[in-house]
Amino acid sequence: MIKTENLTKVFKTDEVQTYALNDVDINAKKGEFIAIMGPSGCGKSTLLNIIGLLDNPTQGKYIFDGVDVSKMKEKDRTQFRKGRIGFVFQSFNLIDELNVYENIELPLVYLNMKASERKKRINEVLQRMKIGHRAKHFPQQLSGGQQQRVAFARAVVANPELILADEPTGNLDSKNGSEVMNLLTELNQDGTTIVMVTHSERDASYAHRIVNLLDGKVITETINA
Amino acid sequence: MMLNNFKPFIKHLINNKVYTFITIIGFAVSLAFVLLLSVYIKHELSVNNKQKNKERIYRLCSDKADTFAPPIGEWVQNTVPEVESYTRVSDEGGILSTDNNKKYKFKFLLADSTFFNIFTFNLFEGDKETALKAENSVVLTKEFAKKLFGNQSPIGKQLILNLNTPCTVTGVVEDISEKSFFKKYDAIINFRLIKKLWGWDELLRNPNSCSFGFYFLAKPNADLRIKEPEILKIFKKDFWVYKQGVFKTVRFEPLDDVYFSTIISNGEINQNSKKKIAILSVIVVLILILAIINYLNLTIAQSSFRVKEIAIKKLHGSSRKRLILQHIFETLILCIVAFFVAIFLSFLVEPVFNKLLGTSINLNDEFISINVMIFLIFILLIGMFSGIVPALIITRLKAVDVLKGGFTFKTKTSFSKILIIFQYTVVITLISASIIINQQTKFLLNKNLGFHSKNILMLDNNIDINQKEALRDEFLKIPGIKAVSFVAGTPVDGGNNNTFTYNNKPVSFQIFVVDSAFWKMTGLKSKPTGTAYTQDGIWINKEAIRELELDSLPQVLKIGKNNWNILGIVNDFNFRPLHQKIGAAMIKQMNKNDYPWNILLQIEGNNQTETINRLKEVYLNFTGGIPFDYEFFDTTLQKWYEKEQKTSKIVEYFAMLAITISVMGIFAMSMFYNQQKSKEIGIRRVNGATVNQIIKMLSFEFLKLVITAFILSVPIAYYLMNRWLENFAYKINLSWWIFILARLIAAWVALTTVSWQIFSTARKNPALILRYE
Repeated sequence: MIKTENLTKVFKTDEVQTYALNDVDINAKKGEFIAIMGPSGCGKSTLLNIIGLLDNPTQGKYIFDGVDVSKMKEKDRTQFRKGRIGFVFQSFNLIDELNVYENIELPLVYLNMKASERKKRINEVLQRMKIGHRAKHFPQQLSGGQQQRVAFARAVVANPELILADEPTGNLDSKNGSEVMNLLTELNQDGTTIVMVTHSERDASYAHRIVNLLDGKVITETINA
Repeated sequence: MMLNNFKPFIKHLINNKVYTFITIIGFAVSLAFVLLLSVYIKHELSVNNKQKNKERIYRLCSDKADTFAPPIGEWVQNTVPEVESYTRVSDEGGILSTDNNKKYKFKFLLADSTFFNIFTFNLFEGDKETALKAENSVVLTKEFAKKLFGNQSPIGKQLILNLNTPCTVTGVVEDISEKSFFKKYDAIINFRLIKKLWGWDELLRNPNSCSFGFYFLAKPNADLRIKEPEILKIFKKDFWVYKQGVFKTVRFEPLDDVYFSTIISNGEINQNSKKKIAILSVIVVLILILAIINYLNLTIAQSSFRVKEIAIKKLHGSSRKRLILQHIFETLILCIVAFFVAIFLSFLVEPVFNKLLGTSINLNDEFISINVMIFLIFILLIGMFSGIVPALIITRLKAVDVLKGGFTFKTKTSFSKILIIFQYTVVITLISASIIINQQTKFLLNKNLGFHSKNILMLDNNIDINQKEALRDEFLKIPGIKAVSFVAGTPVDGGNNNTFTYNNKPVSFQIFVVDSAFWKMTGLKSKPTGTAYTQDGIWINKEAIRELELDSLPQVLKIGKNNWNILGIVNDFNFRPLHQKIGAAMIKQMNKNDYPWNILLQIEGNNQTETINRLKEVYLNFTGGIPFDYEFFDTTLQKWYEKEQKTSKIVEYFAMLAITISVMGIFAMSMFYNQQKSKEIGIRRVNGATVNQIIKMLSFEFLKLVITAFILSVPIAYYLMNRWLENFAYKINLSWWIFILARLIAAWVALTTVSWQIFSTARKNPALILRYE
């Protein structure tokens, strides 16, 4: 489903060039769960941004479902990404001014989905994430774990093929962290491909495969038993 | 050390050029207006300051006017022992001839010999006690004396007033500036000469001619106002205007109140409206408050981009006090730069400002140390205040939060929103007003008045009746002269008013006495009534038929003992400014014994300078050197609407100022807004929103404010403009598109101001935004 060839990302300032990614070849099959690990500054988030079509590589190829998306313009990337990719972040990234229902509704609005269809899907996902009773609440009224469930609900509501999770348990205690990882596993078991960036060995153990990065390069790939 | 603290600030200003430009220029423009308006208000409030006796001088007024008959002064002085002296004044104009037969048109004030004892004027030559003692004495202003006699002393020189009255120069007084208490005059002449000027020996003893102003000097510590009831009692008994109930009250108005009095003078003094000064004072305060609030908002919003710098300084041991001082110092620097730009701008617009407000303020005169000190202290206070608020907010933050990336600079924007709505309400109201006033002024200037006004030149007539035809022949010999007409009353001066009683009702007619050339020259059209031609036959206009309720083609007009044959009915023409409706008009034929007031000349459109030079030669020959003053009909018509043209310009400038202030306001708000919304933008972008959708969303937030302002401003502008248009008998209709256009302009200004920030925020990589959140 995802394939990168010699993926390179260079950040330039007036005087310095920094290689955030350097000839990275990575691939993920449909339904696979991959964890990307490595120390801070190794390029994990940069790789996740490129995989999520939030950014373009400087060089190299990125094939998504057989389509070369590496040179797409910003506008086309947005169109391509819509409904295909869901995001989960460490800091949840919910909009404080919108309630739970409206936060989850966001990707559907940008897919121009009818209101009745949106309602149906949101209610389904609210039940699935066990936060139906919180639909009218605002993010500040929820615990960290509940906020991350809302973020998950938003990520899956459009039924994406790929979910990208950037340290999804980083701001949670171990109980809530385990719940989040169980959720990711459930989603994966339902057929969703997952790419997760993490520092946690424990979280990585949920994945099928672990890719280790150092200084912008893939140094090892381990398959979990 | 100080330089190191200051470096990031300078770099920050250079890196954020738009912010720096809007902050400094926006603040400077507002300050320039505040400076100019303050100087103007100060000037208007201190018009009488140089009058040493100002506490003791009173103007005599009734409930309607400030003019009384010549003997009144003596009556009052004899009745009120507290009166030390008085002077009568009258505004006059005439021709002055020197002994070498040079003639000058000039403006002069008639005043009694006490004038220079009551009012403070500097006499360069002559004695203020005696200068106006002799009946034929003339005191010239310095400028006019130089014009007449060069560097020679004029004392004792003989002059002829209005070609027949000899007088002698007895003094030279300082120039009377255009905007002092008295109007600009070239000379002051003994009041008693009025009887010769009016050809009426009894005038000074006659209580009937209520045409002159009176100023009384009270004895020290006396208040003449307590004598008003006593004077009123006497006036009601002995003075016909009070006996007949024309005037009802008597007032001794203190000199300080005269300038702003609602009793308009007979022309000798300048006056201004207190309401106008009050409105301008409110505007000054309002501009200042808005400018300071916007400036504050801008600095607070901008400070939020420097939280990292502050956090690092804090972590490395800088005290909060030190950071606050640094912030105040930086704001002070910006304020002082804005102050110097404001002074530069003030000097730049000073001439335009003087022209628009009809004043003559001179900023150079204001640059005395005390004023500079006051203004500088004022700027320092604004700077301190504007610096301390953001400094307190920004230095309160926890350095660790900032450096960990979890810090968001949040402030409530509801106050900013109200401020923006208020500013845009003012902007839209002023833009609507500006368009409407402009449209009405254009309408006034371009309306077909019913007569030709192009290339018609008007001269004062100063020749004998028997020279009329000879002068006409000489004028017609000049190439470029198409027609010459002698008239008493023209469409641009409104003719002479006569009121008749018709069917027991008073009917007011404007009378124009014209020769046959007048008709073709002005293009006035008339329909013959069929009445046989007679030398004393008249024409009346259609409005006269309506007012008198006559047949459509009346033959004779019977008014009292007069039976006028009506030769024709003239189409209505506007002989008054369009503020007033057309009234009844009567056109009479000029007979050989009628004295024409004016000469009208129709000239070719090309080589006008050459033609006018030739006209001048002929005119000077015939009049023996009376100055050749002329005016085109078109120019006179333009002057009818000078006030409207000035109002239009003033409103335009205020609209521009309001726009400048609103740009500052909305720019500050968009900075706040974009910063506070950046996380939301990032989330929306990640969830599929396109750049265009984000731009639309952000723009709509600002448009919502402009739309609210529009809803508020339409009734305000509609009401104000309707009130203004009530001043005109002929006016434009208020169209809906004017308000829409004003809204579009305001929306365009708002969006242009915020677009750069919106665009850059919307285009930011969402991953980066969310990483730094």
